[in-house]
Amino acid sequence: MIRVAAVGDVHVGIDSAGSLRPGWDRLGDEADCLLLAGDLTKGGEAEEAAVLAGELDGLGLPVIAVLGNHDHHAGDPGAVRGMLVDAGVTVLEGEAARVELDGGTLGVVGAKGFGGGFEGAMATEFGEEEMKAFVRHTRERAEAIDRALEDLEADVRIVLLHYAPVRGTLFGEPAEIFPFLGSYLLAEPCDRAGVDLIVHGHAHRGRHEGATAGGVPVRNVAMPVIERAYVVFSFDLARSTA
Amino acid sequence: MREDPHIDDEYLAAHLQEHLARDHRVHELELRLSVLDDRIVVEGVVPTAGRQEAVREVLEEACPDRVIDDRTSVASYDPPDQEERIS
Repeated sequence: MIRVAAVGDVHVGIDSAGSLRPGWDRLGDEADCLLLAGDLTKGGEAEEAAVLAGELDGLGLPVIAVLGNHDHHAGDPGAVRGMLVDAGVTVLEGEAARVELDGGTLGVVGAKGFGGGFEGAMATEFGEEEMKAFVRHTRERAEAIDRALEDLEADVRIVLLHYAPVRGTLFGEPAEIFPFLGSYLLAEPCDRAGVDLIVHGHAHRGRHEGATAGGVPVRNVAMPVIERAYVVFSFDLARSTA
Repeated sequence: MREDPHIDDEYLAAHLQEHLARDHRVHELELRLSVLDDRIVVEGVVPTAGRQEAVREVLEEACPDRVIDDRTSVASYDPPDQEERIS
């Protein structure tokens, strides 16, 4: 059995010190790994990342994270990343991490992702350079996910995103802003590889459960959606290989 | 903006949304704003009580002549009571 906890959009500011940790105290007993689905800080300041590092200190399980748009706002996502890496967090951007656990091997491919929309209502790489750059940014993130999944062998494979890969977990948000909340490009490599689960945040007014066209479960773990300090997903390897 | 009695409420709601996103005290993009006569209604979930107070401050500074109807709530940090089996 592998148990994975996840939460996104904690938006940690200086005023968050001490607010998250009480809810996370049991994590080491309830899960084998914690995934953080971006928007870890309020405005992308290193001081905010330091507060989060303090909340995570001594949790007793591996922590894997991706950054979100808030973590880019101050213009130095590297500072946020560096602060978390120094605290022992694995921060992924188009890369894979493997964690050997008692229950098996967990593989996580992580990327921020980006927007663009979904079939029938999407931006394309056409026209002004600004529009092409917008869609290209997403496409490049998706290509990195594809490459990282190619080489990833693990008993359980999860893709960790900030932006949404399907519209199904966005319902509840105004449809007009779906193109700013995610892109189908992020789901395509996950379906191709047949991953076990996709986890994302970013859509505070969305819904928790969705699935890709190929049937991969998608879960929106933005804190305002889950209304908890985290959620836990379990994978029974004995059952899935029987 | 504050002193223009003919300001369009629709533009005002959009400008306030921009304020809440860009102001360093708040940086919240997912709060719902509506302008109803003399009231500014703000709804959504914020991470801390401090952030909730900052939302009110920013709106009061931008619209000193309006009533701020704060319907935001602070996120829950309780641990879950069950897990979801994926496979």
